[in-house]
Amino acid sequence: MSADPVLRARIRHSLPGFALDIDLDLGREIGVLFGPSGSGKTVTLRLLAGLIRPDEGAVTLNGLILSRGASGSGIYVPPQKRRIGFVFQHQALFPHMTVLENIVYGARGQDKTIALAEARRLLHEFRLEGLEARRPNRISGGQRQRAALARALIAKPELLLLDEPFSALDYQTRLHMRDCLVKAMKSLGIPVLLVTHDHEEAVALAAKLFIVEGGTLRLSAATPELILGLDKQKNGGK
Amino acid sequence: MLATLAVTLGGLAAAFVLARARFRGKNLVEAAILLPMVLPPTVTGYYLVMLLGRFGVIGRHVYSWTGWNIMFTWQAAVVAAAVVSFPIMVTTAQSAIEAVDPEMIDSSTMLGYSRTETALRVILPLAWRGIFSGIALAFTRALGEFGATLMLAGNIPGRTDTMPLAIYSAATSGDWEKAHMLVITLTLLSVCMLAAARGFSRRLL
Repeated sequence: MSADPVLRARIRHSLPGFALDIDLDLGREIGVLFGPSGSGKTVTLRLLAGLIRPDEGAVTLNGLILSRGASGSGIYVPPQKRRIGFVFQHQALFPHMTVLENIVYGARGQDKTIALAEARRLLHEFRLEGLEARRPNRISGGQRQRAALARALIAKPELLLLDEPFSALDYQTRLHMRDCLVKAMKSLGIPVLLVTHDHEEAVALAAKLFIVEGGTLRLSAATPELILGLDKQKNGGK
Repeated sequence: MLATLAVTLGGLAAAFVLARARFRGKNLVEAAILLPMVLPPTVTGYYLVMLLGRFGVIGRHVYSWTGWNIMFTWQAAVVAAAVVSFPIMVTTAQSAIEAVDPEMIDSSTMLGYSRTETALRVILPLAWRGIFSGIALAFTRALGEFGATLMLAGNIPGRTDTMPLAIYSAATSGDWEKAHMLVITLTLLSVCMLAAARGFSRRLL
C-alpha cells in the first residue's frame, strides 16, 4: 500500500536560530516524526498544514499541489482549504461547546442529520457515549484527546497530522489511543503523520520513521535499536 | 447610548484587526487610537472642532453640501463621547481577543473555517466577557464625558447638556438640589457599570 506516496514534501524553511530541510514521502500509513524537543517537529507539521508558509519547496497531497515556490509567488493553498486534519498537543477542544458540538463543528458544510449520525458513530467508536452533553473541562484528558481525534476525522481529511497527541496521557490510556488511531487510519485509508518524543510509541506505531536532527529531516528504518541509539546519543551529548 | 453602540461596533472591528493582524506602522495606529485617553479632553475637543467644525477639514464640505453643521447639536455630544470612549473599548476588547488560545483558532482553521467564521464562532464566544467589560467601561467613560463635549457641542440646555454639563451648570448657578440629584445618579450608574465590567473581566480569568 505504501508504494505510491500520497503526501510528498520537499521544503526548506528558515526560522530564527535554525533552518529546516524537509524531504518526506508518505503513503496510506502511519509516519512518525521523532526527535528531541526544539528540533522543529511541530514546525514541520505546521508547514505541511499551511499554518506557516514555507520559504521554498513544494508540498503535494494526492497529486494536488498545496504549495510550491517561494513565498510571495507560486502556489499556496490556504490551510482552511487543504482538507488536513490536525490534532494539537493540548487538544484545543472549544470550551464553550459540548463534546457533541465540538465533534459536529468538524463537519463543516455537511448535511446536519448525516453529520449528527456520523458524530454518534464516532462517539461510539471512541467510547465517548454518555459524554455528549459535557463540556471539555468535565471529561478526562484521554476522553478529550479522543474527542479531538473524532472532530478531526468527521471532516473526512485526506491527511491527518498529530502533534504529540498522547504525551499528557497515562500509559493505559495511551495504549488505547494508539488502538483508536490505527483503527481510524485503516478505515479511512489516509496518511497519518504523528509527532512524538517517546521512542516506545515511535516503534509501536511507525510504518515509516522520520528523524529530525540538526534541522534536517530524514527517513530511517523504524528499528528499536536505531531509536534507542539516537536516544543514548542525545543523552550522552548532554 | 448611540455613542456606545458606535463604539461597540467600531471598537470591536478595530480590536480584531489590532489583535490578529500584523502590519507596518501598527504601533503608530495603536498610539493614535489611544491618544484621546491621555490628551486633555479640551485638546481632543479642539481637534474635533478643527475636523468637524463649520470651517473644519470635514465640516466645511458637509456644510457646503447640506448647510448643516454638527457644532452645538446633540450629534456633536455623541461624537465627542464616542471618540473619548473608543480607546477603552479597543484596548479591553483587544486584550480579550489576544487571550484566546491560538491553538483554538488554528483548530478551527484546519477544520475548514474562514477567518470570519472562526471570529464569529470561536473568538467572539471565548472573548465575550472581555468585550462586554470593554463596552461597560466605554459606556461609563462616555457618560462622564465633559471637556470634548463642551468644546464641540457647547452647553445648550435641553439639547447638548449631557449629565456632567448639566451638573456644571446647576452647580455654577447655585441650583444645588438639582446638582445633588444628578451627581448621585451619575455616581450610582457609574458604580454599577464598573462593577459589571469588573464582574465580566474577573470571570474571564
